[in-house]
Amino acid sequence: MIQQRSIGVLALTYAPLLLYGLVVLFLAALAPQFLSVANFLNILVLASPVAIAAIGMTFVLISAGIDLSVGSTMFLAGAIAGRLVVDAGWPVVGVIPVMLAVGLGVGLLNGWLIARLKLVPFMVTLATLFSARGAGLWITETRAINLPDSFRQLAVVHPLGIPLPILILVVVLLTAETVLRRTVLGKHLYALGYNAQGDEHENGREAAKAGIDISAVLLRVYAIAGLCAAVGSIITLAQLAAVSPNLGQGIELEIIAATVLGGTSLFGGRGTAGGAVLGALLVETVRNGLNLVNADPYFYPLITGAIIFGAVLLDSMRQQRLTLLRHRNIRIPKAIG
Amino acid sequence: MPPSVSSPCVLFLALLVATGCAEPDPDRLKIGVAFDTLQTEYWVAGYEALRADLARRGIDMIEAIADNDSNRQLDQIHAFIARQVDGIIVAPKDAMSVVPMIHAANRSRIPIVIYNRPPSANDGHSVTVVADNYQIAKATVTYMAEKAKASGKHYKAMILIGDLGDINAIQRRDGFDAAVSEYQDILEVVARVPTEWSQEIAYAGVTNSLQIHPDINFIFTSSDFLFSSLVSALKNRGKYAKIGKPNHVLLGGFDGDSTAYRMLEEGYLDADGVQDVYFECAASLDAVLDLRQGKKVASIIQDPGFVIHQGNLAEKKSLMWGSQVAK
Amino acid sequence: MPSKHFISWLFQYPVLWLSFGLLLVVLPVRPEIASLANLEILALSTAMLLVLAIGQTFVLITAGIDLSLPAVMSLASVVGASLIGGEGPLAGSPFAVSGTLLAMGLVGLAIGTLQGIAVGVFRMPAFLVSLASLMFFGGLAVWYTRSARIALPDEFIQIWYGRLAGIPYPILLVVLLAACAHMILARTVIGRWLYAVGQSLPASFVSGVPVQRTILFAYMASGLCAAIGAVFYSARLHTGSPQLVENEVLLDCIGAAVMGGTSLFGGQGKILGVLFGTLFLALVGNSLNLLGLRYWHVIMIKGGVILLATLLDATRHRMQPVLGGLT
Repeated sequence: MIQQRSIGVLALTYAPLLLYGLVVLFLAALAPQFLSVANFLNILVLASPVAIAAIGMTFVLISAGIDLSVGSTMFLAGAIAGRLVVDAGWPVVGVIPVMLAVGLGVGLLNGWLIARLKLVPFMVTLATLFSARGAGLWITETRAINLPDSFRQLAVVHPLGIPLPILILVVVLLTAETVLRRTVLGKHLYALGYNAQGDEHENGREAAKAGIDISAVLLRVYAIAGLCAAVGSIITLAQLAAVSPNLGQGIELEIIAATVLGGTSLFGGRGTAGGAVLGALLVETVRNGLNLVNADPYFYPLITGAIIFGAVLLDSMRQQRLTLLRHRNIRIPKAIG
Repeated sequence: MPPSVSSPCVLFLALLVATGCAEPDPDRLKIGVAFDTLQTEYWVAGYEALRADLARRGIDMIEAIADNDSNRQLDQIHAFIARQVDGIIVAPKDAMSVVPMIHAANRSRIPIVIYNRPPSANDGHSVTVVADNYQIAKATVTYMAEKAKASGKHYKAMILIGDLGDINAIQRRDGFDAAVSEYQDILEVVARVPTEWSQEIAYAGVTNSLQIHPDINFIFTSSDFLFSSLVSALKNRGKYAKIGKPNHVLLGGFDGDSTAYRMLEEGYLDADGVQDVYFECAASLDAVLDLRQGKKVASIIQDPGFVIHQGNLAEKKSLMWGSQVAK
Repeated sequence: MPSKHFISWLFQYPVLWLSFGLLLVVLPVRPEIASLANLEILALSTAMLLVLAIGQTFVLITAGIDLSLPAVMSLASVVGASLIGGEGPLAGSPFAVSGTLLAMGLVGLAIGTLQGIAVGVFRMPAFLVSLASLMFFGGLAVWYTRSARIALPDEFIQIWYGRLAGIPYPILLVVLLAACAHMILARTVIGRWLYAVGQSLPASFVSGVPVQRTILFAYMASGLCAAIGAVFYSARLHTGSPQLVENEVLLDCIGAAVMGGTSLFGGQGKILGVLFGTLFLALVGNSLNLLGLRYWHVIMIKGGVILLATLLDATRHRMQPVLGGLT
């Protein structure tokens, strides 16, 4: 730890935020309409499903795990909700707890397999990725389900003058930050993840020595990820007013990318929920900007890819400078994460 | 092995055997049906129509979905051949990658019919049943443009483009472009939204574009399955209104699914390009059975398709497959 | 007579006996699975996936990950096809095939070098670097041909379909590649460096391992393997395609490596294990194709089988102390 923070260190510490500002300025220069409160709220609303799922992913990544099943969980929760609303005539308020329960259920299953049976997170969640998607396709028989207008209202209502998706995002973010910073679970999680680096089969041997109930922590971590995915699914359904067979397909990469862009390490022990939200916003902002300037569709992946690369490059240069500034004489590179 | 581990293993293997054992009557004909995707209602409707038609004729169907992966589809065709099917119907990802599938079927003397996506020039023997995506899309957009012209107003247009790797999506985009280029005096394309065939991305794209161009009043979607995203985004902006209302947006789609049918009936949708799923399925099945019996079959069977709109709705709706599915 | 050593060796790769188990389960239901034609198909699918999994293993051993693989394959595929196919500059020249292979290899090596520098020198997180590459180069491939597919001429296709002494070329080539990869990892100094970097980067840095060059090597190897994979996949499909494979192939090849004992946290992994993991996944795909179950059951069972393999692997770990006594 350093005691005296120079301005340079301070600026570098908040570099992700500065970088985001830079992207915003760049897009504003391209499209003047970009800089408006309405558009920024619009970006927040659009980004909220991925951002919320990314907050859940932050917990998993801090524990040095990974959850590939979030996209399929979103689909499964949506598929069940769709059938209940359309075929069984359930009210919208009735299916929301069911969706949350589905997310929690898949999360607990992942957590149980990983925590109690000590299986590799990548493989377990890869298996649930396929199984949950298959189950959802079975339930919907691969047909799209159109939801009634009452579902869409969830995305449109403005309690306190703020769109509901943003409100939900803020509540989830504040809860997550509190859990990570102020609770025993949070402390244990960082300790567990920090010590897990290197060998998954000795997952947190040091942490165990320190008296942490590893499997209890891991179980909760995956449950949280599943729950967050379900919340993201609710917002997505409200926005689309439909469940399509490819809902959430491949979104796990976008969610993990958002989390890592926000400074969370895939190797555990490091990360914040706020960073994950920032990462999700960055990706959505770029898409918004490209839509606004009516860019050639072929350029979307090129520009998005280049901006992510640039962001990561700047961030890693910042990390190296920070390490240098903090301990001037030790120059051993950190683990590549 | 600890009981916690072994019990699911045993259960699972038992399940696998049970599902696999449902062996059908060996004397019945077997037709292998391989589809690239079941992503949209169009593909599901075709698939289910084939399944129903085969069941009615007392033929077993062996199914395989490749999830957009041509290599997996080629594996599936090889598996059909290994199971000695009596015919193959394949809906491939693109015109080229189907060629080795045709060769494989030819080598084993199994008749093969290509559904909906014509193969590129090759020396194999196959029959193709296909709708002209470019022409149907062009006709649909031309109808919309004529309506726009008749109103005497100036229009700002948006197109929802499908996955750029999908040939059908490209042909529909090209059909849109060809139609629009003839109406440049009244039509200006202000938004070209790539959707990657994802409802989420389509919703975000439409929302963003309406944010900057609130006056967009001419929208064509490359597939009807994106209508739910499109309509949802339009409603949020208060722009989803019936034909004739001042804030109505000229809407056009492609496929002919049940959502589009309902929107036509309710007076929201102006025009929809329809591929005749039931014709395509029946023609594919007839072709594969005729080939098996050694009859001559034309190498290309064209589904003419048609544009359905408010003017011909009553007359054409029975031909629109979405109206059957919607029941 | 099997020695104790051999039994203990068998227990090292539970995925191998799971493969036998699966074969025994499927055999009575679908005897076709053991037909010579099907076994050749199985060997070929294993070979295809193995090429990709070997490259991925090099990167995984250094505690990295290479998500760019589908994009590298697609870009190499269209670059190669644009040279040799249709009116391409190399079409018909005596160096057509060799020149095309060279160009495709260079594409793989170039992207690998770029990623190796980003990860090794600039210490950027491998996940994001390769994800950005996946987007960028995947987009570049689609843009390069503007979504079009390019047919490949016969002389190129022979790389996949040709045979030497009755054995398909790709199997010979992959055996050779796997042997080289095994030698590099097990017998050379660069192999030791790869494991050292993966086990502990700071420690290997202090003990004088050229960390940057080692990481660069891993990503270049992965890029080259992806390019070789692109040659096989393209030749097999007769097609240069900007969407040669779906992103799911990533999960398949990382999954195969992990099932074969490679750790995602670096420092562990053997080519033999990867071979068994690949064989298992290829067998799962092949069995599911032959069983011809409903689409959703296929996906669910795939998930179940992966879980089963993972469970067995965990069991092995727990029984290690017992088995340790055997040797």
